[in-house]
Amino acid sequence: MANRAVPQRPNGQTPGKICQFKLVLLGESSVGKSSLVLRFVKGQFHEYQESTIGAAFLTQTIHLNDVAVKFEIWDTAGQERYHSLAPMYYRGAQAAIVVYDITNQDTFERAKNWVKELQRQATPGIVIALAGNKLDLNTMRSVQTDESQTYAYENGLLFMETSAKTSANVTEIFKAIAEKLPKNETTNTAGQGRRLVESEGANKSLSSCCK
Amino acid sequence: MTEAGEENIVLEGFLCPICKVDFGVDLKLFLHFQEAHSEDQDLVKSFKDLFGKAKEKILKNDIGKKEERHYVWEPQEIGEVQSHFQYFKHCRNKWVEHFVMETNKTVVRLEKLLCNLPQDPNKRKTHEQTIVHWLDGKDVTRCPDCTKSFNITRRQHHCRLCGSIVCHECSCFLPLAKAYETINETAKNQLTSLTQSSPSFRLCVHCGQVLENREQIKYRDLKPLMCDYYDKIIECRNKIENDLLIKFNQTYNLLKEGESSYLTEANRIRSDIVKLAEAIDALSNRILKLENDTNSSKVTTKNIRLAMIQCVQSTVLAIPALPSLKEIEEIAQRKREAAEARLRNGQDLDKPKISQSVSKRHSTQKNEIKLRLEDGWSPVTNANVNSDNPVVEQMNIIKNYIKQAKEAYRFDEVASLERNLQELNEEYFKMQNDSGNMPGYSTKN
Repeated sequence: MANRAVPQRPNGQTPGKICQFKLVLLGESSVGKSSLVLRFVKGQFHEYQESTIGAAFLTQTIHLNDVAVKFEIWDTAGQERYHSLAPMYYRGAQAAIVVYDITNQDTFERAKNWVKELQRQATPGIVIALAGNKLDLNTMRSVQTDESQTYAYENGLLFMETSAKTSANVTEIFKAIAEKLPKNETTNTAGQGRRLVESEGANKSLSSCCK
Repeated sequence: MTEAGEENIVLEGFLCPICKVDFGVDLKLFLHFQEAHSEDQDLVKSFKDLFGKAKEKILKNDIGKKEERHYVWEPQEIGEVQSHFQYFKHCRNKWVEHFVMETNKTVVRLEKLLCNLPQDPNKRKTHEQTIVHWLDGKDVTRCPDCTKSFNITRRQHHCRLCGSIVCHECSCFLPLAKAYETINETAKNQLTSLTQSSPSFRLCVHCGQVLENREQIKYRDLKPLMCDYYDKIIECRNKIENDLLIKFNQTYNLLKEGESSYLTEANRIRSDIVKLAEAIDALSNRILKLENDTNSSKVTTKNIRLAMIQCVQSTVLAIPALPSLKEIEEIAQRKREAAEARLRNGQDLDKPKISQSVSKRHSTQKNEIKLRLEDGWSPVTNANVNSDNPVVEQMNIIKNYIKQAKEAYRFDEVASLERNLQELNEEYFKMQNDSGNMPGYSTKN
């Protein structure tokens, strides 16, 4: 038990910077937000993923050189009924992944709307990534890569086509976000005292978002 | 001549309409009228004009009225629909009944005729006459169909089914074989004995048409066997092309990446495709062997067979052979080694390249599996959080999450979640203030 409390980082790594970021997933229902996150966090894929209720919470840390980037991921429900919750989660977020389904043009249009909403109402400087999910269904594609690539370029978004099923580009997209995020503000030296710093950490990330 | 009676005078002859003098000849009257009453002509003309105008007006009125009548229909209520289907059905039913009765009568008579039909022509004639009353030839002088009169060259003939008289041109023949077929009797022994003597019945065009229609209705809904087979072929083909081939390609690509667990699945899909291809082959062969009367259908069956052979060949040959388990494991091993080598060098972490290429994706993913297994955490969403209000629902979820995070000693997560719960609380009370009566939220933990 005590072991589980401590290991916020893998053994053998020299302690370095830890950055914590809030990341939110947005997009039409059943485009694969939860699958994408589950693949990233647990390496799992469920063919029949249950639809999310409200917003699910997951955390995952990736290491870039000696910097540990910890993502607090809010995986929002795509269903219309929960849209009122979305603003609460993207408001303080430093990063967002807007997901659409490459086999469904409508979800791409919905993704564009999410991007617009984020650009208007989310934290200025939020890193937005556009993910065209279900790349494994490439044969049934209806949104062309060029189209979304151009759209992403014009709006300054990170863009990748992913597949939670085959795990294509899943880690890559989080990595790309981690690289783009500024890493100079929240610096924590890891160690045993980590678990006591929770209030401190809380204050810091509070100051970093626009509330 | 003029007859003078003081009161009721009836004048006859060429009278001037104005001075009422008889002129005897029309020319004289004409001249008199021109000379004496030329000025009155204007009057007449004006009268005529008056009448003309009145006529015009009345006509106009009539038209106007007609238009008005039309206009009455216009302002109907929008969306009002009147169904004439019942009326249509009524009319149609009458017709159908009439038609069915006619047909049945004809068939019943035909059945009676065919029952115990004698071979001898004379006996046969009397037999026919006992079943159907033949019209007397004296009463009919003209063919009722073409209205040409009968004589030595245009002789009278009786329709064996209704007994009416027609000429040769207006009659047709029903072969005995077909007659038996019509009443669903395959009495071949009778048939052979009868064929030499008199092979057919003479019918009037009307009765012939009735029987013809009946045959057509019988075969209308009957699809040729070829269509059945062809539909089945198309079904198989669609399944291969739209479902199985796609699945196969997906699993095949996974195998090529070293995922050996998909081997049985791929094998199953492959054998399914082959089975369906065999089915297509067999069906098309059966189509080819169907009996065909016309040349065009022979060509059709041949073409179908050729197309299907080509289709089967192209699909079956296009399926790549599956790699063996050993090969897959070799691929996986090679990838693992490459990934480990890269991990040792640390290149990938220094400069992570985002690429869509399969091999790179695989290796980078392998690099981070270590990190992911140690760090990824997610609480389980309790399904029992339902509420009318999504915010309340979410609060219940978060409370559950906090509990799980505490149990897992994830205090960073606890902090974040508590912050979120706080926000949700604020949001909830804001909502409650906005609209006084939100569904109740219990504050107990």
